[in-house]
Amino acid sequence: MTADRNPFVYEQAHLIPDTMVARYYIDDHSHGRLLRSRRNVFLIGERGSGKTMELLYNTLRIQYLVSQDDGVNLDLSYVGALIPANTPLIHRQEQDLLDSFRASVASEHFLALAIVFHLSEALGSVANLVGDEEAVALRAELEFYFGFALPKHTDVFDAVCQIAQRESIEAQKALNRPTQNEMYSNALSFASLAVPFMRAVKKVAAFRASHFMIMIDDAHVLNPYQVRALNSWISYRDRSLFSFKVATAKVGKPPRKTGSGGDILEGHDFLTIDMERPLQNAASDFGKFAQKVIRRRLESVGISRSPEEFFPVHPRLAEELAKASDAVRSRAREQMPDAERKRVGDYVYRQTWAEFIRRRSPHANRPLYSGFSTLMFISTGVIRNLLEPCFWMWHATMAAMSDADREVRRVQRVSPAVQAKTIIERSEAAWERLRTLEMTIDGCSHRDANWVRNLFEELTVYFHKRLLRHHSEPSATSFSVSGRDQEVMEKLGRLLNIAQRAQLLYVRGGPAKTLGRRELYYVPNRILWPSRGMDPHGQHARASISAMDLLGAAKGMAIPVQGDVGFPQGNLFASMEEGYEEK
Amino acid sequence: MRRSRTQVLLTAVSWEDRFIRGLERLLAKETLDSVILLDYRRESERTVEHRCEAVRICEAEGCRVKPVSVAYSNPVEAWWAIHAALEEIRGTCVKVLLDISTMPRESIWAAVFLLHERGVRIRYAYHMPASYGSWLSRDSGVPRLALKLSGEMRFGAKTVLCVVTGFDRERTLQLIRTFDPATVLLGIQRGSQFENVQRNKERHKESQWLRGEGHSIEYFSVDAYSEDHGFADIVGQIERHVVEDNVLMASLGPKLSAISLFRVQRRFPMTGLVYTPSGEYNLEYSRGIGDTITGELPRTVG
Repeated sequence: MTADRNPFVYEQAHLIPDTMVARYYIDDHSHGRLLRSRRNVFLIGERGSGKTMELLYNTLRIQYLVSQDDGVNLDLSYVGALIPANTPLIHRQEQDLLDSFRASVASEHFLALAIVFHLSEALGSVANLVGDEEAVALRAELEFYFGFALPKHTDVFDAVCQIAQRESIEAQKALNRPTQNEMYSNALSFASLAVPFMRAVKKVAAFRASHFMIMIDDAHVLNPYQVRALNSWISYRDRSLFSFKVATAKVGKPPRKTGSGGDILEGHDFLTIDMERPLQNAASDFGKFAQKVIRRRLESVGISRSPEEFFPVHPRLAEELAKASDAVRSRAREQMPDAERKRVGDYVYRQTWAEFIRRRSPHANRPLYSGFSTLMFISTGVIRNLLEPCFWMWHATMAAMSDADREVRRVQRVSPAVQAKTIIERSEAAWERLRTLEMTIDGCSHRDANWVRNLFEELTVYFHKRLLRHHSEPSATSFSVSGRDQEVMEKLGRLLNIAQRAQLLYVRGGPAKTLGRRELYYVPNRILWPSRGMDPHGQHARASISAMDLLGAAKGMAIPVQGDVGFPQGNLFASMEEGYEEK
Repeated sequence: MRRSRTQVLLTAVSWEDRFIRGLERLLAKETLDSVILLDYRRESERTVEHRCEAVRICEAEGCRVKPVSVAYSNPVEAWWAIHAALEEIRGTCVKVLLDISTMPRESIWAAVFLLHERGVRIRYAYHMPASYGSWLSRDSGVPRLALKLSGEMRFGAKTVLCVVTGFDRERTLQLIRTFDPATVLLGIQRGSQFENVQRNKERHKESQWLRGEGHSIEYFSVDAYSEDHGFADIVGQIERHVVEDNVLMASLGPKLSAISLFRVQRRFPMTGLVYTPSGEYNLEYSRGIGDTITGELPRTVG
């Protein structure tokens, strides 16, 4: 196998070949159970959180491949089709030149056709499910419902795809004509097209017990008319025939209004799966998931090493961390001689990285960030963030090999030096992204961008100070917002929203310190920390910062730290010369 | 010297030097019956002086002036404003000269689409600036498909994004992130004018800035300042994709590429044009005025 095949490819799942989707997917049974049900489900998460992969894996096409690989019969109880919304067709805006009634009709027309096209394509992806006589009957029934002849000399599902394609193109041509308020006169709807189609397919023996999963990806791209139509379909009480699985970004997720002005309700009409996962430690759900992902990717290119073996810790970092850990443990035993073992362990967990940083000379190079655990933590619980540095590490490892040696089987690990260099490069790329927000984030003004930059700079300084001085939670790198004055929150919320859309900040929900309550807290993308010499591991704790102080930080003011006696600002490590060496 | 007869000039009011200097140049060279001034409300504070001066010098030349208020950030309202402004211009006996120098690409496409559909003879003029500012625009809005030029897109087809690149590399990135194309065709302007090599070519060819995102990137060179404004270069790139893929095209580079992209779209109506709005343009966007490039859209534009 050659080096061209980078197992850590992290591109959009829809661009990955089917065989790779089947091979790379890690079945998370809790998600699988919810998806493969008659419930409507929203999967929410930012770019790279695995939404598309989750939907793709549950399509009939991929399930067929998986059943072939596993040597089992294809289970047709749930038949899934992926309907990508982020397509040029959905982005068109000619409907806005029409009055609102015709705009809604035109918008639903395209969405209903997209559903039928992709559903029919999915059904046709598995051969021999429809007998000859059943195909004749199905064709006749569809022609009756649709009111036009299906193309002959082709499979019935392919014929439906051709019809959907033709109707869509004819409607686009009509809408593109210069005449005012031109509208395609044969507009179709979900009720007149998709529902009869699914009902007719259910008469085929193979699909008699099937439930159709209409899986819409990137629903935040749908236009407002399509969102309202989708919500109306979601509010249907009878879910025996179909249900919707809708993947959408957290920020800018579609409103919940239906076409008739009602609302769809969580718990009643749909369930939500948050695709971004809390990441407290290596034993957390995400920690285990990350392990499986990397192991599966390595196995896919014939490497049978564990993630820890493949991404080893730099010996010098391991040694320094061990010394710091010993020092913290001794101090704990000295100060808390009667403490239980668990309490000492917790103390060591919280203080080791802080101790390691405090023991280093202010003029030292940045730590030699390396090891699978570091990679897992800098992912901030988002799978693409885990794969991205691995992708570049593989790339660098291969680039350093001679042509003759460049074979996957020769790669037994990524050297700690390559890891450290790549992590710093990716960290600096994240800061660079922070510097170009006004160019890359829709609706982010120059001032917004400056304020977000300031906010992150001041948060970095704030967390530095905690790392150096805070007694109980020095490694906290998350924060919750206190003193949520409405006026301040309006301004601050806009900035936090921009940072979220840039995937530089993640929002999680967790228990508040006030008993019984839950609160939102914010986790800056941990890839930001290595470039500033910070602890990317963090700890399972969050600082409470007032909205006023955060807004002040956006304007360039320091965030006060309790007991702050004045620390030098700026970078923790004054000397930033690169000093990586092969070990 | 015999003066050519052009009846209507369509131009966009701007604070840039080349707007007024360009208008004077056209008034001296062409015979104009009327001038339609597209006046973008968002920029009205910046453009007020030039707007008054434009009216004065046009009227001094005996031209009727028709100011048209346009909402830059609302494409539908802008479309109807341009539609209404051009309502009475129809047929082969009318000639329109478009000064595209300071006109947003979205308005250029709306105007040429409407005029071309009505069989109007369309000429265009582009005044190059003497130099560009250190930055051009910022605060990118959501990229959007041009009205009536959004193509005929197919279900299940891969998206191919063809971008004639400019100085703002991040805008290319924004387009890629918006449309998630499988293939990106980056047209890099030929030549070293306006520091093109450092500000455009080298930055777009830096390694790693796009790789790893899953797109296949292909580069090609294009010359928007040539006679066909890069039309043949772009056709050569996209004609191998139009049968199987959904092709979107954007002009972020020299303004004249908006003309060639319009022609490409008309040749391949299944392709779509994309516009990326900006929240803010540099007050020092450009300085002075250089050569004026003129041309005429062929009757069969593709």
